[in-house]
Amino acid sequence: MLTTLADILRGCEPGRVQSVGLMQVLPLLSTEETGPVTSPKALTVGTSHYGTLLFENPLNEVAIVPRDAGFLTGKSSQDHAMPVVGIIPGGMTRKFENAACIQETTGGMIKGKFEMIILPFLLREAALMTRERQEYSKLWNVIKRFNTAMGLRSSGHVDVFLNAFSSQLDQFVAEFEPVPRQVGAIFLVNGHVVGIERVPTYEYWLEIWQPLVRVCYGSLALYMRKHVENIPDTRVPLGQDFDDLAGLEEALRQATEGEDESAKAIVRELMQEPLEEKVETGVDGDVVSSLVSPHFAGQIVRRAGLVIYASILATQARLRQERSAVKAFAL
Amino acid sequence: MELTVIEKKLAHIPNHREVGGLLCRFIDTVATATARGSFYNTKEELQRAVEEVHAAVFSIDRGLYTVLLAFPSVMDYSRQIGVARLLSNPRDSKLAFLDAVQEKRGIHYLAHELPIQRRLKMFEMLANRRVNNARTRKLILRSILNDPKLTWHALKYRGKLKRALVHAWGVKTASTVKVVLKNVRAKENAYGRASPVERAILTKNILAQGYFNFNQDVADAILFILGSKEVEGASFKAYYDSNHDFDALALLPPEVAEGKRSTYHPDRTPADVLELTKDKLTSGQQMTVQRSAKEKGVKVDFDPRKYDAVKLYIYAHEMGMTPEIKAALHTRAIEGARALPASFGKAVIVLDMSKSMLGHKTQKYRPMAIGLALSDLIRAASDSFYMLSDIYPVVEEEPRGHTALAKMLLDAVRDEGADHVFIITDGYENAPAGRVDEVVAGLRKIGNMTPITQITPVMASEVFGTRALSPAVPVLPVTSPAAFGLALVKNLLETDLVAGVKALMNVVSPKMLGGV
Repeated sequence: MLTTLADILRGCEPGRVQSVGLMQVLPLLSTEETGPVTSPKALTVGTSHYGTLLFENPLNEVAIVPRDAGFLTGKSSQDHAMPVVGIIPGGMTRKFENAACIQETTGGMIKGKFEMIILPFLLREAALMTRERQEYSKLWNVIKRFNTAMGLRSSGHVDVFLNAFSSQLDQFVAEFEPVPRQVGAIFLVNGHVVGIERVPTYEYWLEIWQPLVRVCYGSLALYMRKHVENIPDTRVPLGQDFDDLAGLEEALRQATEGEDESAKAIVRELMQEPLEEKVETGVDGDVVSSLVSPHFAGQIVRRAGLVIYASILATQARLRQERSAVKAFAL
Repeated sequence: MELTVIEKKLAHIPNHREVGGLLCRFIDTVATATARGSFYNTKEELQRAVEEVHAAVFSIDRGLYTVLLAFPSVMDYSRQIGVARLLSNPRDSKLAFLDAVQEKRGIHYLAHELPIQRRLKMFEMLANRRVNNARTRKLILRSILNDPKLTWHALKYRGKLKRALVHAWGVKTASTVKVVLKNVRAKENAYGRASPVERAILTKNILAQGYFNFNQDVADAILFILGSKEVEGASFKAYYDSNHDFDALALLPPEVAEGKRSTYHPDRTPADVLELTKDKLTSGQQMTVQRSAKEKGVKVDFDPRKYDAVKLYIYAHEMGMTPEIKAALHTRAIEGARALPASFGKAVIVLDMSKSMLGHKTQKYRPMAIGLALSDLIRAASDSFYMLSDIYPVVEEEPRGHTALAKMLLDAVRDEGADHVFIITDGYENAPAGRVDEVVAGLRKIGNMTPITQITPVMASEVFGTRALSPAVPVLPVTSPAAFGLALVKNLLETDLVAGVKALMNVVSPKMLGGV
């Protein structure tokens, strides 16, 4: 079945673009009622053996574990990540056998509540591609290449990257801010759309905001910063054609509207992009589907036909195509 | 101190402009840094950065370093590590801005400006760094033994006091003192009946360090601190009796009583303890327990006149604004404005109400509270006043959303005709980043020179100084409305070291050196 980004974002309206450096964030706002959802924070997370993740949902509402959620134990047990969206019925425990270890040489099972990240952007396509494989070590080589690309030692540990770039990532997440009614965002790097994220509620967004922006998109911005120096074309500087306060005000208005419009125009171009939607699983009326196109890949959750969760990223192929002047990240 | 004297004292410092810049950076740091993490930086990063800038200023002149730390509104954290640094490093023969006697007074002043719990933390810092010279021992012993609230503090901070005393006396001497005090107590607590050896030990280790007459309360407190159960004071007896007598908790500090309840009286509730000890709550505790007291149905008196404006705004955000709090805030602003060295004509405040102004989880709402308290202060120090913000800044509102300050800055200049614009922000602009800088450049290009100052509340900033919206706008990091006065000193230091130090001494000298 074919769908479009316009369909996926139905019920949302764009907010005002936030721009810092190469990154721009177009907030998606909504007050649509999506029905109750348990957010990841409420879940107890555990492993029964390497490559599994168990989620215990103590509340009555269905829980949605975001795609590529990683859980950092911060101690001598192994960090794990989900390569897919997870649906956990209310009051139930659900086990995923296709999880991935993201700490190559650390052993130990986990159970409890842990810091959640969303995997670095450049690992997420590989994670999605391996979602059906039950092999705990499936991401180690990709993580190694990612660490090397970031100038670190070749290591199958995501925490090596997180520790090395901790302060830069903190700085990055501080640059952007969630806005009222926000339930998602379209992320642009260097003037190109790299990710579309949507969640059921504002409260859920506040919870996922930091993991998503800090690690997933922050890591991409850090990578891009190594290769791109100029600010993107979607950034509009203040014009200089004024000689009084009224002229300055007009120049500011034009720059503000111009910047907002130029980012939105890029997004608008993509709204009718066809995406192949394939239903993968369904729990209690919430249906998880994968989405594929030459340019984007990801997963969505539909409830009564309406999209309540989406995480769709630009493919490596698209990134390479749009950054022809930039050395491609090879996985 | 006359200007000429200051000039002489600063003669050994070669590059005044460079040093002035460093001192400004130091002021930025000591006015903002705490031992906690911020919204943006970890605790370790902050500690490392603070230590570096301290070391740099200390290496220029330890006297100047002492004076800077004594300036009002310097954070306790910087004073703690400053005193530790001064005591860790012996004075050498080089010229210093303060002589040995002045420095001694300075160290004493800095240490005693710290609240007791932070002073004890500093003693712990000295013990961990193995700083045990004569100056350190004297400071610790005199501070503890002369404490007029020693009994109360012994009950509250027994472990920390013991570590400090043992560090100052040494394990062997501490043990000897304990034995001698027990013996003296056995002789009906009569110092006169002590043997010559006992008297010599008490004189050397207690009387010579303090300026009090030997009395039972102090002897009891020392014995209690050192772990003796053979103590007579009612509070100390209550400490032990409360293990089996719930009512004895009434004589203990509330937090100690609550600890005892949870261990020895698990069948009783925290509300029972609160009811028993509510008269002993400090004014700070009275504020912090309001919510739990309300939930537990216990009425605890709260007098807003006793609190500073920042605490009141945090409290009002949590519990709701009342006419009494408003009146107290008004009074605080008027008092603060009187102490300011300047007024601002028509002041316009651009208040950043974006999400990051909410602050770190360990100090939630503090940046916003400082911003609101500063707004009141500036309003009180201005002929007329106007505030611009994305969200109407009622205290009950949560900061939220993006940071779009450029338009408001332009409105402040164009529509409000400001004589001075103050932008209260954490410095993180994203709608888009750099727009304020472009607008300031635009204003200057068309000849509009309205003074614009960025005020950044404590720790809503980066490790090194604060994050500037524009290189053309001076940034003033502030921890509280009281720190606002630092702005003038900082500006002077940037341009004229001697004049800046003179302004510094005018504020610091009367308190720290008694006007020397």
